Amino acid sequence: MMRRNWGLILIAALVVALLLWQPWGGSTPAAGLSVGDEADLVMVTFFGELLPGLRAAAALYREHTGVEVLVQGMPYASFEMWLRTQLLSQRPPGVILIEGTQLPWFYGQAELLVELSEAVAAPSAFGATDQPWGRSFREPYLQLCRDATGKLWCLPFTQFGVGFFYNGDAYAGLGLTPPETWSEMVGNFRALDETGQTAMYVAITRNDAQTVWFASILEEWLMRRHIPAVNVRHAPGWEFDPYDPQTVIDERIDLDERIVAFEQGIIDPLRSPDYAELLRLMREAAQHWKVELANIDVTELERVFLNGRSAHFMNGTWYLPVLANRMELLEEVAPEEAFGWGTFPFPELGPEDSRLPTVGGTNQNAGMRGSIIIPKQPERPEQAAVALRFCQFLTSETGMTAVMSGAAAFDIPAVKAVPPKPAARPLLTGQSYAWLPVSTITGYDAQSYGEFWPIWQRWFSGASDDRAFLAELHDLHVASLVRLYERFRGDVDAAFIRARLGGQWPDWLEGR
Amino acid sequence: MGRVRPWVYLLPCVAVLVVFAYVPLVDGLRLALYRTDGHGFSRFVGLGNFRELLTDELFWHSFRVLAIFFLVALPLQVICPLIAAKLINGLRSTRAAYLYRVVLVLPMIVPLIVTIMIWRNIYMSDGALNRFLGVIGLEAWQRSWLGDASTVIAALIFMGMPWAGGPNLLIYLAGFLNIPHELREAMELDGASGWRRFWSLDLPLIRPQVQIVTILGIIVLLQAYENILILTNGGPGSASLVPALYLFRNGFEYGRLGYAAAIGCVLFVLSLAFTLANMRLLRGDAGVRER
Repeated sequence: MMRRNWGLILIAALVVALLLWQPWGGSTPAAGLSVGDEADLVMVTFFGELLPGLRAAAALYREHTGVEVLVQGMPYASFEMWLRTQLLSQRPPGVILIEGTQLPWFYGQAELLVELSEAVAAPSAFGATDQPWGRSFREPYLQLCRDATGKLWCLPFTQFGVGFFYNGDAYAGLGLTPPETWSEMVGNFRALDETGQTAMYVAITRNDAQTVWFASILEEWLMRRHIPAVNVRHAPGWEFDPYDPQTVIDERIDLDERIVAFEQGIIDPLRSPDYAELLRLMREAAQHWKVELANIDVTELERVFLNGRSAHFMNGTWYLPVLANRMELLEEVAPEEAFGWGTFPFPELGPEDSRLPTVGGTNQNAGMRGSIIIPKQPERPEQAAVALRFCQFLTSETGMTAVMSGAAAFDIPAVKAVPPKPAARPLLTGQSYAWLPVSTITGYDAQSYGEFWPIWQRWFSGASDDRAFLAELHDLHVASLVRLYERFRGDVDAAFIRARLGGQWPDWLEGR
Repeated sequence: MGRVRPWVYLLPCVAVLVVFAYVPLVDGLRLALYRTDGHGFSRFVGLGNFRELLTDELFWHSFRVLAIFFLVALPLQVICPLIAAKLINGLRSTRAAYLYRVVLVLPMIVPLIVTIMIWRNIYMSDGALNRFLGVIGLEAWQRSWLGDASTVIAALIFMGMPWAGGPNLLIYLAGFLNIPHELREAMELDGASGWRRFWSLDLPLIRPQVQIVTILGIIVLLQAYENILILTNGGPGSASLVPALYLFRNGFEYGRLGYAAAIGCVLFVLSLAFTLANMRLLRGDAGVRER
């Protein structure tokens, strides 16, 4: 009898075990994290180098306000999937510090994040009471965080200066010096190339940053002269001074202005001469590079540089201590392979470098390094206010000083009152120019960013010429603007668009 | 109770299957009728996603790439293990047969990701393949195997070399072992050549195994994209983009879950169609061919 009922007994035991486990019922803590009774707010980041500083800032915040903030780290690998699951869990951490602005734009446009324009227009609880919170950020970081519709889905936290790490031995062998101008840099690339050395190894893959940084800096420089023509809906009496970053501090380019500018051809890759000029400049430099499309992952480019097979490696301020450590290690374990190295910022561009009129020189704006997002909390709407207040503290002079003092990080603090560390200076330029995001070569939403890479690969491989590339880029930009229009139709001022286009409506928006 | 008991025993397994296989399938069909990002945005569009697929050039391009895999990789995956199994089955020494079986099946235990990373290192510009070509004096053949649109698909197919091992080999071996010795001896006595015995005896009797291997191969080809995602991400350009990868991109990179679900529906229908066609083509009594 017992043997015949064995199966029933096992099934019954399984059912009882499932009932006791109860994964489908009861309240659960935030996915993967414990918001215990001790913590009022959870902050998560994968920037390991910032963790000690953030915890120091959280301790200071507790002293000031009595609010307990739990700062947790997570691995960088698969953070995108982690972020997605967190946001979908409806109980994400209160504050997340992540890299760049693409993901904030993506999830912001999916209405999973708190929009922050109103918050930065009001004074901060930990800053000057007579000016908006947004004024405390270094220009133009706040503008860098706005998406193509002008909405603010993230706060700037750290920026990086991007430049070049070079092989000092290779330079010394050819009598080269760190370039200060565009033509000097291209000259160095050419000199290395002509002696059979690889001037720079680049991987054109989706996680590649080098070529996009390079192109973004050129794009911003070329398009800067169009800011007044694009930013037509501005504060009364506004005048653009490219040499004064303050002149764009409260300005933003919204979707209406972008649609108008595209229809007018100002930011249309196919009709704008600036994009053709961008490609010419890219080719001038890239003809001396070793371009890999898929044979190497971008994470291996550092190894290529350390092995002495690439004379340059384009990276940011965060890499300074990393490379110093690597070189120290190399000197210890394989001194014959160690080499002298140095850095220089992206060289200065001038009117002599372009066939088109330009204003000002190089801005080191290749995107935000660390940006803060505040996820919406449907089950705990009051958390947003708690999170916002903590962010105000973090981005105050006191908070940011605490973060950077405790951190082995060399990124540029987004807060004006806290200067960059001296070690970061080699990658910083002295002059900043006024900046508004007139256009973005990779397109205006997440899908266009993903679709950009195949056409970028085709151009680099020679499979498509400039005209074909610009035609594809045009299609990509149009598609992204259409998607944004369909998503935010309620915010679009059709009357404004028609008025600016002489009563016409863009045919690529016809019927939508 | 005697009639109910088998159902009770099956219940946990069926419950898991329903929850994790059939419910997502039906929900996927539902999702395909919506324009949604899986977060807050959702709008019923009926067959809108499928209509968009009809004019999506990249979608059709991915099928052209898949067709190349079908024409080249599928026959290799079906025929090579069959030949290997026949050869192993024909060995007189059981020890040798065992050794070859182990050698060909053992690579199965290596995780797929490890295999992919090894091949990536082989294909790198300064990887083993290019270095080998340099050593034997074929520098002219060195190239960016995964970065060149003209070689990327061949490189991806070649990763499976020798295509003779794995579960397909075991399936065929099982089929060969089931062939009665008496039939083989009878044909030998009749003077049939080795090729004749294979064509007229072995092949018809292992038709069910060929059917299974082909169906599995089709399903795997329709669904597989992991190696392409890691190695080339569909590049260079879109030269190695397959429908499954396009589905992944739309669902998880572009936030177009409804559109991705529509692609999934198309792949499901194709899997079903190929499976039914395969079963029909290879149907028939697994009997010995007569002269």
